[in-house]
Amino acid sequence: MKKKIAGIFAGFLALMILFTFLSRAADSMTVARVSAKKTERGKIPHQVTGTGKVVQNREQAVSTLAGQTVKSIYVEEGQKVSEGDVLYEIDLESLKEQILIQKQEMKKADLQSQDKASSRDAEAYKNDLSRYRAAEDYSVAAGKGSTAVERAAAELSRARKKLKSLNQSEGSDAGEDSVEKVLKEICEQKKEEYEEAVKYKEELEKAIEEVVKKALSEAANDTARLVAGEHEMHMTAQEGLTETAASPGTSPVASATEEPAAEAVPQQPGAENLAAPPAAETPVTETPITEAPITETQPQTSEAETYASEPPSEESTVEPSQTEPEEELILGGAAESGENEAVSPEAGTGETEDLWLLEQRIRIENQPLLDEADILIRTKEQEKKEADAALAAYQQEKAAGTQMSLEEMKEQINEEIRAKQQAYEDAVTAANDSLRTAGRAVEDANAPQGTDSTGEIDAITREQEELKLEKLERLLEAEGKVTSPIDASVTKINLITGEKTPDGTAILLSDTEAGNKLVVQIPEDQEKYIAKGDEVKVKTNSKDSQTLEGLTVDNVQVNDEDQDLLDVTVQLPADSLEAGVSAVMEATRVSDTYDCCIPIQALYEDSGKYYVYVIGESSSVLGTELTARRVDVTVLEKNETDAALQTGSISGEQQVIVSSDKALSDGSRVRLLEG
Amino acid sequence: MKKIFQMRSLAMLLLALLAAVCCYPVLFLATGALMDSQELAESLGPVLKGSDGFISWRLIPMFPTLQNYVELLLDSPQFFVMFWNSVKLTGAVTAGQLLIGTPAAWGLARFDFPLRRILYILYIILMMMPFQVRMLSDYLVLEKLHLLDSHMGIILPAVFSTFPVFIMYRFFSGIPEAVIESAKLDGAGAVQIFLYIGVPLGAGGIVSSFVLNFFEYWNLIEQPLTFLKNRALWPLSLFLPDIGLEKAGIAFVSSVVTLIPAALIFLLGQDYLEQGIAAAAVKE
Repeated sequence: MKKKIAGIFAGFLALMILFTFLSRAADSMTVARVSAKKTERGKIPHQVTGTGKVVQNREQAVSTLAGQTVKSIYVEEGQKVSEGDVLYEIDLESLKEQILIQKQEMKKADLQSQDKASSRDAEAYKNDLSRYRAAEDYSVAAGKGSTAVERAAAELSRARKKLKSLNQSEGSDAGEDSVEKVLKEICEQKKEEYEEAVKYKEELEKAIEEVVKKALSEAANDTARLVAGEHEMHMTAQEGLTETAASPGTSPVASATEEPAAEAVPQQPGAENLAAPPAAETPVTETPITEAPITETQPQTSEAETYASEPPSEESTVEPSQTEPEEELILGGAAESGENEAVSPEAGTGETEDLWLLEQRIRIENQPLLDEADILIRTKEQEKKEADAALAAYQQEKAAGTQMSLEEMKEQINEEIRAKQQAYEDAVTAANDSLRTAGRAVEDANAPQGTDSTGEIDAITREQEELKLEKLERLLEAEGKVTSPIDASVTKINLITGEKTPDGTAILLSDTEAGNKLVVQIPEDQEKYIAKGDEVKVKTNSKDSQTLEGLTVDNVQVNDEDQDLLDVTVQLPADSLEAGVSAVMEATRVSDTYDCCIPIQALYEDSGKYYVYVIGESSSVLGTELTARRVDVTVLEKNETDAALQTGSISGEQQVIVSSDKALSDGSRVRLLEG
Repeated sequence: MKKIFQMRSLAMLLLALLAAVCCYPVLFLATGALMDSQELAESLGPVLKGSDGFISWRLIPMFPTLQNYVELLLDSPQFFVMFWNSVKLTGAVTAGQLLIGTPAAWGLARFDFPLRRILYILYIILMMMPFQVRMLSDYLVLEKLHLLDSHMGIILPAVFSTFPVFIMYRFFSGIPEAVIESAKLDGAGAVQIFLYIGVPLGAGGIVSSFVLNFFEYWNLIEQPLTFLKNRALWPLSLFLPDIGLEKAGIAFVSSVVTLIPAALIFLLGQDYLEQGIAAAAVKE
C-alpha cells in the first residue's frame, strides 16, 4: 500500500516535470525573438538612383512628304551612316502617280478659283446696282414728298385767300352780297382763262401753218437749206410758242422751263395772286428734307410723273410742260429726217412727193400740241360752266331766299381750310415716312459687306500646292532615294517597308560629332540630395556592364510631362556610351556626422510620432526577463537604410531592437538573439 | 445489545456529518476546478465582485470543463517555477532536519552532559516562540550573512529548527536502556548504537517529524514573504494570493495540484503521524 502511494507520488512528480517542460515550451512560443544593436555614431548617406536613356546632344530629322510608299529601307536603328548614304527608297510608280494627281488637283483648284472670281464680280455688280437704285428711290421719294407738301400748302393758302376775300368783301361792301361777288369774280376769271386757252390754240395753229409754209417754200429751192431752214423754223416756232405761252403770265410752259419745280407749283392757273404766298415756303422749311440739291437736280421725268398723279383740274397746266421735251424731240427728229433727206440719193428725183410728205409730217408731229390745246380748252370750258352753274345756283337760292348766309359760307370755308390743313399735315407726314423708308433702303444698300479674302487664300493654297509638287518632282529626280545629310547614327526609324511615309520624321539621326548625354528621372522629393555639379556614377544595364565614374550632373529640372519627377542630365564623355543605351545613374550625398544613428528597421512610426524599442529587464516569477520598452525619439535625418536620432532619448549603452519575429508592444517579453 | 447498536448508529451519523463539514472545502475545491470562468463568476460574484445575493454552489458543475487544468498546466510556467521552488525548499528543509535534527535529538535523549537539562528547556522555549517574534532578528542575521533573497535564507534556519528535535527526543527517550546496554556489551560503539539501535527504534519519531515538517514547509508563507524579494524564488503557497475572480478557476486548480503531494505524504506517513502528534502532546 505504502509502495503504491510512493509510486503515485513519484508519478505525480514525473507528470509535473513533464508539464513544466510543456508550459515552458508553450510560453517560449509567445516570446518575440529579437536582435538588438547599440546606437552608433555615423553619417546618413543619401543615394539617388535613376534609370534613363542615353540621348544625343544634337539630332537631325530626315523626312519626306507624307503618304509616299516606302519601297525599301537600307539602314537599321543604331547603324552609323555617312553623308550621302541612302537611308530609304520611295516607290517610283506611286510617286509618279502622286505627281499626276497633284497636277490634276492644282488644275481643279485653278478652275474653281476662276469660277469663284467671276461670281464675286457678279455679286459686286449686283451690290452696286442695288445701291444706285436705292439712291434713285430716295430722290424720287424726296421729290414726291416735297411736291405733295407744296401742293397741299398751295391748296391751304388758296382756301385762306378765299376766306380773306370773303371777309374783305364783307367789310367793304356791306350792302352787296359778298358771296355772289366772289362767285362772279370766279366766273370772270374762268372765262378769261377759257378765252386765253382758245387764243393759245389759234396762235398755235397759226404758228404751225407758218412753219409749214416756210418749210415748203424753202424746201422747194434747196433741200440742204430747207433742212437748216426747217430747223430754224422750228426754233422760231418754239420761240413763238414760248412767247405766246408766256403772254398769259400763268402759262406753265414758261414757268416749267424757266423756273425750278419748287416755285412752279404756286404759279399754277387758278391761283388768284401771282406772288407766292409765304405759306408755300413754310412747309418746305418744315419738311426735314436736307437733301435739297437732290430735289433740284431730279430729272424732268420724275417731275412729269408727279404731275401725272395730280387731279384733272391741274392736268391742263401740266401738259404743256410734258409737251415741251416732246416738242423738242419732234422738231429735232424733223431736223434729223431733213438731214437724212439731204444726204439721200432720192432727194432730187421725187421733190413734190417729198414736200407733201414733209408738210404731212410736220402737221402730224405737231398734232399732239394741238390736241393738248383742245383738251385745255375743254377743261377751261368745263370749269367756266361749273363756275357759272355755281353762280346761277346761288342766285337761284338767293331768289328763293334759301341761300346760305355769309356765316354759313364762312363756316364752310373754314371747314375747307381745316380739311386742307389736315391734308397738308398728312402730306408732310407721308413725305417724311416715305423719305425715311427710302433713306433706310439706301443705308441697307450701303451696309458694309464682309471682307472676302478667298482670292488671296486661293493664291496661298496654290503656292503651297506648287511647293508640294516641286518636292515630289525633286524626289522623282533623285529616283526616290533619300540620303543622309550628315555623318550620324540612326536613332529611330518611323518607316515600315511597303507602308506610307508618316507625317513627320521618317528617320531620326544623331550627330556623332556632338556627343551624348544621359537623362534620368528621379522622384521630386530627392531634389535636396542632388544638384548641378554633383559627382555621379553611370552604369550601363547591358551584359558587358560598363561603369563611368567621376561624371558631374549637368542639369536638374522638373520633368515636362510629370511634375512629380525631376530630369537629371549628365553629360557623357565622347565615344563612351551610344545613344539609345539604357543606363543607371548613381549619386551619393553624405550628411554630417550624427551621434545617434540606428538602422531604419528599428524605427517605428505611429500617427506621425517616431519611436524605437529598447531592451529592458524585468523580474518576474520566471526570473529576470528581457522586455521591449518603447522610447519616443526625434528623427533628425533618415534615408532608406538608416536614421539619425536626436541624442538624449537613448543612451549609447542601450540596446535598440532592430528586428523581431513578432509584433512588439511596450512591455512585450523578448528573447535576445546574439549576433 | 439493541441499545448499544442504536447509540453507535447515532454516533456514526454525527461523525459522518462532521466529516462532511470537514471535507466540504475539498469538495468545493474539486468542483470549482471543473467550472468554466462564467459559471464561477455567477457563483462567486457576490463575494469576489461585490454583486448582490449570496454565493450559490453546485456539487456538480453545470458546464464541466478541463479548461482550467489545461491553462494551468500548459500555459502557466510561473506555477511550475513556484511548484519546484516549494519542492526544493521542502525537500531541502526536511532532509536537513533529518541529518541535523536526528543526531541532535539522540544526543539530548541519550547522553548525559552538563547543562543538558537547561539546553533542553531552551529548545522548548525557542520552539514555543512564534515566527513573528524571531522575524527581525532572523532578518538581521540573514542580512549579515548575505542570505536574504536566497533559498538558503529559508532552508538553513529551518534545518536547525527545534521542533523535529523535540519530537524525535520523545521517541529516542522511550528506547529502553537495556537494549543499549546489551549493544554496548556486544561491543557496539556510540555511532553503531545510534545507526543500528537508535534510528530503527526511533523511526516512528523520525517519520512523524518528517511528515509534520513537510506540511509546515509546504505551506510556508511568512518566511518567503519576508526574506525573498525575488518573485522567482517564491514557493507555491504565494502563487494563490495573486489570483482574483478572473483567475478563480486557475486558483482552484492550483489548490488541487498543491493538495496532491500533501495528501500523498499524509497517506504515506499516516501511522507515524499519529504517534508523533501523541508524542508532542505529552509534555514532561
